[in-house]
Amino acid sequence: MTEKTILIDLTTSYAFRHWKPMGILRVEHEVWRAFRMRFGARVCGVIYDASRDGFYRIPQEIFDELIFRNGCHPVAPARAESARTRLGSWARIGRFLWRAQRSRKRFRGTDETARSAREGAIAGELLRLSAEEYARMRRALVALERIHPALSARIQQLDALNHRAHYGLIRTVHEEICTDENRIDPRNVGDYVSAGGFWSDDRYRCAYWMRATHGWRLRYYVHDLIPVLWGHLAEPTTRKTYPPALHWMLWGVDQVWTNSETTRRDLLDHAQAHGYPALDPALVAPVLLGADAARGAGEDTTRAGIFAHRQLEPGRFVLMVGTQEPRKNYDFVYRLWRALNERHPGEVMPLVWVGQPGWSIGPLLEMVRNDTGLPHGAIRILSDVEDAELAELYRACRFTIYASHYEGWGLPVVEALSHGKPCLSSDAPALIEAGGGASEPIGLFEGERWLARCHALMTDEAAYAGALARAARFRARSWTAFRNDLTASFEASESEAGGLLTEDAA
Amino acid sequence: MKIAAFGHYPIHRPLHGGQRRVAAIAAQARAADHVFRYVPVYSTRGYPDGSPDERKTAVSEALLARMHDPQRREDLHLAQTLAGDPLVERLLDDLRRFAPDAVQFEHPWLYPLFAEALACDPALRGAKLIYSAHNVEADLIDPRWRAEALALERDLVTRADLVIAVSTEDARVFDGWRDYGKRPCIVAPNGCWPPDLSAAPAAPLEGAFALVVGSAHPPNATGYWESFGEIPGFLSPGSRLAIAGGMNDLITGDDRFQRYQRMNAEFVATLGAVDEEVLSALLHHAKVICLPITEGGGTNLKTAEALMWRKPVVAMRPALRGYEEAEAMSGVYVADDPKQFRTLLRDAMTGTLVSRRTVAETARYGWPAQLAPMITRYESVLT
Repeated sequence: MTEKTILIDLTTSYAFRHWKPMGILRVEHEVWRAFRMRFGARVCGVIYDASRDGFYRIPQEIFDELIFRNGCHPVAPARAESARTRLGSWARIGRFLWRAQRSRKRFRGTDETARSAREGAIAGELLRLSAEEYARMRRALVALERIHPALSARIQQLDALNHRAHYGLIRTVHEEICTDENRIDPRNVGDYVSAGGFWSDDRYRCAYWMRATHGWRLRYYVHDLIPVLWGHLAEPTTRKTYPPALHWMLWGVDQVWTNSETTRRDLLDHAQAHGYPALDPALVAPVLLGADAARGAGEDTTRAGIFAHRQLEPGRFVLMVGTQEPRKNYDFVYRLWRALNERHPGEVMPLVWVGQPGWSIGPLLEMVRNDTGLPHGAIRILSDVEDAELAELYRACRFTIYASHYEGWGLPVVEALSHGKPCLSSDAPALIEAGGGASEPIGLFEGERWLARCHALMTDEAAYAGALARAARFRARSWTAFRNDLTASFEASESEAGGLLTEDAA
Repeated sequence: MKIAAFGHYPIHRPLHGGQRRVAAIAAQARAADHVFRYVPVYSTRGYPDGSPDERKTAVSEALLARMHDPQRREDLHLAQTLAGDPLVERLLDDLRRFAPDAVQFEHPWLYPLFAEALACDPALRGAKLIYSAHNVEADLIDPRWRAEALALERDLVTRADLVIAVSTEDARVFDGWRDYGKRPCIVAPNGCWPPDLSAAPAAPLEGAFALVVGSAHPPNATGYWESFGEIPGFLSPGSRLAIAGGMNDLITGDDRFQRYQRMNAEFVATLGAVDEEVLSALLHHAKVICLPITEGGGTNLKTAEALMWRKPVVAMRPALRGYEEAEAMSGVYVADDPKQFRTLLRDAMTGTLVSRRTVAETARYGWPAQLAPMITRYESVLT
């Protein structure tokens, strides 16, 4: 009997291939590695295409480049310079209009081949006009539109095509992937594994129907339930798209992995509270993430360069890492640092915020930058830090802070402790869990305790030594352990499913 | 027997439970050969669709601002609002001309306008006084108005020659207020007109749906949120919860609904007020009828209506007030808490829970059967 394919959905890694593989992207990569190492050719990496409502195999030739090397980005083609004279420009415009019309007639039809050929031909002609000449032609067409309103739609189409031609989007890697040849035949699939942002498009609906019609077993790795449990602190689009996606998932799922016991409990409670089909707790298992990649040592010269560039003194700054967004509670830490500086002028180390700017953070950053009550440089905001530099910052900081309102897991807590650095965190359940008894959780209403503890860790060496000893108790988990646990859990559930099928067949 | 009845809403197009009950009483009384004249004294702002006849006794435009003053109650303070208005004298003149054998009040609110005339007016003092209660009003009203409502309601219950309650529980309260030796209250529960189960109307919605029907009465919205919650996890993909009636606007305008707008757009069909025909079609095609009632008094005629359709009914326990025996019937699933309600609803929607109620079993919930104790006692009030 031929074993059926295991699909690993890599749509999120594909869609965000220009990003550094952090967070969900990193997990999706590790899930792929885990299954590929364990099951070899039985595993197939796929992306979901919403317009074609199907899953497509990522060709082997471009797989690594696309998923792991931030590659396969569109390349903007060369575009003609403007003609030397105005007359010359108008002659080019006339030539374009004539040839575009000829291409329309030549590649008439609504099928994909004709459309693609027509677009390609007209796009080629567009690139023989300079951007200025295109703008000139457009102005003329808009003037004509007053007499012929029907031109409006044509102008819109032409604008869209010009944009795609200009940025090299006429034939991208997406078209290379989404061919009939790469389309997944649902009959050959046994399992579907999703560890990415399944709420970003309709992939969860497609998977649901595949389960209903072809018996796919759906397995999801769930990172958190923040958009439903802490919706007010979730990014607005996710707040809208996540609840229906989770809904469909909960109505058609065979196994769930979570990144923490906290997320597992959140999921089971949510399902029970809202009347979802009962989830078998045995099939909802936490598989904790690894954190060993962050610990590599850097070169001395690199290190020195980083600190000189950032005007930081090793051992004399406090670190807070996380996307800059309301849920991370930068607001609280800002007020904490303001109060510390007021109470202990000259004794407070700079606080370094490392993270990409997220949603709804602008007003806070503006407030911090303009706060005359805060000593200059008391809070440094770094949004362009590479992985190697981040590792150096962890290694050289005095201690770390992570006052997030809520998390599914606490990677910055784990990373700090992995570097042997004390971590003061909020008492969000996942952060306590991630700290494994080695972090120091403090409730967000305990302001005085935060102030006293931060001051002690900066000024009291005995207190600092105690905190270091506590952090040293932490045992970091490896990505290898993550991969092994994940595939072991999959196999255990698979063998149970096999047993059931045998019974049914009997 | 000639009966003049007063109420504070028209019944030309009965929508909410109170209107339906009064319309049914009128129909059953007339069917029993009584001369039954119903006089609505009401706000055209709250009920814009009274019949031309009903509009003759509507509160005048000039008094509407006072009637809808948010510092006062439209119902409790109705008599105060109308005091000295020419409408009252006109109503009394009409009443004298009609020379009723009995004057019946639906709700107690209008009684103070007529109390003196009914006690002293030579043309009216012979008429018997009937109180047709819909609830124990003092129990349901906002606490700040309770004492005032209780005094008014208790006065009417004490003086009435006949008191009709919608449940034994309410009757017990009223009997407790009445003097020893007075005729005990009659219980005439709420009901509904038997549905035409043989009809096959077109489905108003595609796919399977659970149905909830309710007016814009705020407790309906409270019950909705408490029972269903914000996330309709009990609905499988492709199925929906249909909301019909005035409660629709209370739900869709709520932050809790807006919060999950995309999800609700997919899983909740917000139909708003629907006419009788559409409502029947909805009831006919619904997979489950929901009774998310968590507060309020009296008995709910939505419950009787749900029971008459022989499909699964999922109810919060307060919805069965006055219909307690129905819990033993097939297809009636009663929840004691919201989690249980949602689980029952999920199982009913997926077909795990079914209904095998028969027409014979549910006939008792029809208006003729439910109102019979009241209609047959009318004559007795004269003796």
